[in-house]
Amino acid sequence: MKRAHLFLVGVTLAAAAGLAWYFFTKPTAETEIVKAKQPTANVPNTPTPVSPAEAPIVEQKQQEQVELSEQFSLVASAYAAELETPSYSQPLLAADLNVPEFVPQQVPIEGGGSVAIVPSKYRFHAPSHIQAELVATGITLSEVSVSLRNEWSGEALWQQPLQAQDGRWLIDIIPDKNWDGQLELAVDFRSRGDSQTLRTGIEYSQPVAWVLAVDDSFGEGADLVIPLQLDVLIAGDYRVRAQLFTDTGQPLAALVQEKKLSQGKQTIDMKAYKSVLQQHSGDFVLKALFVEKRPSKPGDLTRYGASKQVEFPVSAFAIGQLSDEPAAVSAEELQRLEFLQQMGSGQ
Amino acid sequence: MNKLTKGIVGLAMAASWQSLAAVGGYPVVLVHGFQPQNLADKPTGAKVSQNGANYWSEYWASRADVRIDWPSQERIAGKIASDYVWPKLQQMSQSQLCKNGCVFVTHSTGDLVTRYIIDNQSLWLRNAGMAPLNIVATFDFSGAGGGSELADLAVNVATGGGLIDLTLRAALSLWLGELPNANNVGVLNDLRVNSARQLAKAPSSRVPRLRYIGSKSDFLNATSPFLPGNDDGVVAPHSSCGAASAASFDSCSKSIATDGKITSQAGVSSLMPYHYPLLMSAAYSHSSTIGNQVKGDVTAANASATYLNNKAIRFNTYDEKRGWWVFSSTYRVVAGSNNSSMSDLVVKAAN
Repeated sequence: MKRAHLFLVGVTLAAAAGLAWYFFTKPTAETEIVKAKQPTANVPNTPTPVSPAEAPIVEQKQQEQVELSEQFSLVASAYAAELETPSYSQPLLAADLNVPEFVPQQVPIEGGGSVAIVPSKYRFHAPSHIQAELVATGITLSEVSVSLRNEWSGEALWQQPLQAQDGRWLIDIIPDKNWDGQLELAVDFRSRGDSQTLRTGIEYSQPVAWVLAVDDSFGEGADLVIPLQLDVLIAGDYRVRAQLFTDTGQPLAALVQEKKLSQGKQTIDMKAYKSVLQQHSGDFVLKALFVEKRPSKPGDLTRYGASKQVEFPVSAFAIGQLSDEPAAVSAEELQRLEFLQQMGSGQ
Repeated sequence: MNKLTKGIVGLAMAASWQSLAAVGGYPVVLVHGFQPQNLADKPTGAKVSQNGANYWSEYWASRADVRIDWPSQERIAGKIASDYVWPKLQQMSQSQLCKNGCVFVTHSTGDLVTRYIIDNQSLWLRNAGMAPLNIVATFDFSGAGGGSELADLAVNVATGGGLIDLTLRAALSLWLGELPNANNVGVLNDLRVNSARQLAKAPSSRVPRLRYIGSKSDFLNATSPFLPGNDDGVVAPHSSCGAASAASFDSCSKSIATDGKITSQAGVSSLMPYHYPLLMSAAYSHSSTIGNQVKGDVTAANASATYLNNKAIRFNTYDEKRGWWVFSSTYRVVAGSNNSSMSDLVVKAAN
């Protein structure tokens, strides 16, 4: 302890002497020593020259002041750029496609190791199985069982013991036709003389509507209209999302439409705005169809539809035939932009 | 109460819809965050309202027109929406508070509750034959819209069993006060990372979500090992910045640290739609972003590339002659942050 103290005092004195020498030999305005810490290696673009490990670190802190209004101006510009395409047809970037459907949450175990329930995705729909894996790292499990219950009512739906297959705890649940809504997937196990239950939330849907097909697309103003045929099992307020790609797989647009739909065969027109189509002259592909029956009143839960096909081809269209009219911006959106600009002007 | 008194109260109430207008001339609606004590107390009625008033008392209460208060033992899409949010939405529609626009100010889980409101209020009010609210923007302090890993862990601890790491249990106790049981996790279910990110994940309404982020822990960093990246003690930057995916980030920016240092960062590269990180600070914790105390420097999260390119920034210059590591570092600081709290900076900028 004493040695450490002496060492610290020594280092401090050396640092003070060195600093005095440094600043007297080369005066630097507005210099502030803020900390004495080695540079971290995980900061990209930061060269880390080799040096004696014991070399003291001095940071010359220079401050640059910015006005908050400048930052609001940047936001206003970014928001204005968003408004250049209509809300129903936003550009789709490759980065938008990399969002994982489920991010595993590891639970640390006393004595080391961790366990995580990892469903293959968050949202399942009938008739697909519920598939997941129990991933145990640094811990051996025994007496493992899996159960499902309704997350809202607490009703127990299913339970079964789980056997490891080739060292992996793979879960494959054949669903019941009555399961619907937010479910809780739970795993019970024993290890190190104790027991534990872990759980995670998933969603299982009995589809309330099916996307059946895509009709011939056509131009309307600045939009390429892609009519979707739906079989609506339960009437309600619907929202349909889809992603439009070129026939070579390049992402183009994220499309969304909302409509009140009656029961039976219905059509909803997805619209792709001219500028997001990037003058593409070939065929298109419509993917990632996502059908929501929205809560029509507070307390109702969102329900979901599904698509009979994973993707639908959309025939090529002469994009040049679409008009060049600017995207419609609602009065509310203009007001939002004005608010940001007002904040940006410092008024 | 006689007629005159009733009239005065009525006039005062009517005036209150128009008078406070704290942000850019727009009325302010407050939506608070998770209140751990609710899990044990299960408040209802006036107690919920009282808790809401206490939550915002330090700074925002006197600058707001309406609060939407909700109890944490309930679920967002369930009773929070039907019993607590809906009456306030109807009230605001009837009073025309937001007819000419209003600004929602949220904290923590209030960010997630507000996303659910933005996604549904127009539909609900129209279906009830009422005018939708015109929400001009939201100011989201320490937003938990992307969920919190602590909620996932708390739900698992609540489920029972003796195998979960004791350090984790201790950290959760610091955050929650007492550990919940399987029957009272309430909104923690919604706050789990995957569940939160699926709730009203992309509202069609293009309301700008302006984000204000701290990165100092309220819990002596005890919870930090369980949160990815440069957390604020309760949520990770992926949540507070509004990142499109849950991952480990050190900052909302790729070029500015939360303490303002202009340096390359493991920053957020893709944001949720219409989410704009605006201010960050290493001096503010999860709870202090909505307080009135000046904690330290605040930096601007939204760096422009040109700003950086025009600066001659030197990193890690090692002066062999002197035998010293000398960093010449530039820190970006928002003017006024030395004498205004983060919340006050925003209000002053708006007025």
